[in-house]
Amino acid sequence: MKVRSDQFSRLSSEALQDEFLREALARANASFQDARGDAVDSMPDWEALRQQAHEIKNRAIENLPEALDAFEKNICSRGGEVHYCEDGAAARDTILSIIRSHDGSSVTKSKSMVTEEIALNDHLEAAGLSVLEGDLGEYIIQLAGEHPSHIIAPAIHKSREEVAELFHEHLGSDPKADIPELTRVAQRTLREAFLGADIGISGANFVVSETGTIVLVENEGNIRMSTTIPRVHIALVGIEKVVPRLEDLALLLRLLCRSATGQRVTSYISFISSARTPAEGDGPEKIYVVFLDAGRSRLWADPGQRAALNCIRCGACLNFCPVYGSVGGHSYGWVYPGPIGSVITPHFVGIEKASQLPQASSLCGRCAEVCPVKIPLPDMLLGLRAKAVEAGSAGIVERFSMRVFSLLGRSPRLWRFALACGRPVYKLVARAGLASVLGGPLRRWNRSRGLPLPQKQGFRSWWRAETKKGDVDD
Amino acid sequence: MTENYRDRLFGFLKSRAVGQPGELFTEASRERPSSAPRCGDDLGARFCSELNAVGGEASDLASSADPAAELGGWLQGLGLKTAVIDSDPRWKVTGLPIREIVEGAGLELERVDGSALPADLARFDLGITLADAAIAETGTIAQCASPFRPRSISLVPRCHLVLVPADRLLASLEDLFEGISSGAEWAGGPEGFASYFTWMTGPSRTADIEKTLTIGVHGPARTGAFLLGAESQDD
Repeated sequence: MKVRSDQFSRLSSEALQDEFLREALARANASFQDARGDAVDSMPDWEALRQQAHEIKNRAIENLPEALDAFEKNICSRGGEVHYCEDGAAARDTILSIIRSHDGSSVTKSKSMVTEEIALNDHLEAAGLSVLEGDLGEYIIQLAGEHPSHIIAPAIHKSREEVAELFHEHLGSDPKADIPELTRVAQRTLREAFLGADIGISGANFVVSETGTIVLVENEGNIRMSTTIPRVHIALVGIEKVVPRLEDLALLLRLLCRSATGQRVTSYISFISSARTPAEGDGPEKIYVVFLDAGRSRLWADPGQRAALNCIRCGACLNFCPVYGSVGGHSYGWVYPGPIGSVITPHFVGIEKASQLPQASSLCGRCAEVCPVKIPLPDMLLGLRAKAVEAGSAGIVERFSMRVFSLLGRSPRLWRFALACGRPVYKLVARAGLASVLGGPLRRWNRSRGLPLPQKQGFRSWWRAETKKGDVDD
Repeated sequence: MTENYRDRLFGFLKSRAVGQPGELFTEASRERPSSAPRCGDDLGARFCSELNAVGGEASDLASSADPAAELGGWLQGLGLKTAVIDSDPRWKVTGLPIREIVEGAGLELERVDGSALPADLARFDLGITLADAAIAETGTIAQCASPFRPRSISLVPRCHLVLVPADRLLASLEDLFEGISSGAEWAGGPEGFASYFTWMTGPSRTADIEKTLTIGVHGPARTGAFLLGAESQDD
């Protein structure tokens, strides 16, 4: 998928003009937040569980080579086939050659952010295959020729009227159809596709080292369709999805489902450890796992950022982020939006192509508070801001002002002098509303709010006076 | 090409390892969250309330004066024409005359084994199966791949009826995973975890359009789960 993450500023400005989007995001975020809140409240030991989940994912990521190796041995011992791909191009070619080796022509897919990452659909369609997304939201997006704007609710930016119009145009349904009718139309169309498909492609929520099991979490049933009806099942999986043991899933599934949609568990969770056995009458004849690196090992090698690979893609950090909640997923310019997107995108596509993303945060910290595996997202965003500056992203004004600030900050005497000189000037500007005639960021700031006037007494002189009085002793 | 990348990737990861990471396979925590039920709790009641809360239709036949009549009443209420049942040998020991009950509710019933094709199963209104395991904590039904039961019998008909033998109702997710790890018969046995193991918790659902909940997308719109009493099993 084309990367436009260096255009966050422009894309988000455009998004803010879209009234429907803002309403839709407000509604969606409120509903996600309420659902998660209720689900978390029903578990008094939530914080202890987060800590355990953090430790489990850490153990898997710290031992990544061993964890992958064990998974591979286990699934291969039962007839599965595992491939490792360095980048999107290698993964696309690998998947296409697997499909060709089985004479496949029709593919159904389950929702998978990794397949979005490598723009798999375009590639397979260009090779003459029919590819249909099975998840309702993804199907809507596919018909519209767009990309998902949320990692678990891909079509959150579309109104029911837009969907009705889209289905009318492509499927000949009633242009005034309501939501249940639209769902039925998609279900009927996709049912035919599932029954006729020879290749099913999925992602994975987890892969389990101990047993070689692929775990898939969903609500609609489309993943079950794609992984049981076609002759061949291909799972495209980021190398970070591995967890050590099957028993670790009791905890991880609880946290994932509650954090994502507020459900205790989703409607369907599938555990796939091999193709059909000789005694079984149905299920795929062959299973492939295609592991994708595409920047993950580079991220792994950065100790300060490695924990970002612990992410279980619940989407909670998006749902609680005031920035995501205002500008929506497309503003982030690539596959992964929200705080986690702002952290991993620079690693996956290169900081120079995504230098604006670490700035797309007020560092309020809600993302870290709700993350079920305790990823310190604000710290990572700060780390990335530093990297972006090292890579030369800062403009001349920023570089100059930071140099001055650092000079003043290192000398108490200079600092006091600057404050003494700065106060009257600042007061003048604030009082006269001069910020609006000044250029640059001050002017933008002043468009919707005034500059606050400074207190009559500065902090230092207040502190001196108070400590002299002797009543500030703690 | 991809074989090649495996070696390069593993070489790179090993060369960049920092310090000595802890063991990968430590003993998993088996501590249950305080909200998860335990053996000895009223698991039947918890199972039913959890499943009903997510739009499933659960009932404990153990506490029913006439289980056959209750089941028959539910089936009649569906207003469907055709049903398909798997050929699980455990049907013989449920103590319920399932064919009589289904046909008595006005449905035509056909029996299939594990090789039935999804396209054929999709013609039926109702799929009828037995649970391999059930989880009280979440109202979940679990089934593995089986020579007697096609994978899509619980997926492609628009309604699903599942009966849960009393000894297969487990308390929490931990109990289920412990069962799998210790080679429980219902999860594939000592030979290893089943090729395919699936959890079903209530009807198929989506909220993909304007976050509005809609029931019944690709999977069944109605799911009934009836817990069997221990006595009826002994018959």
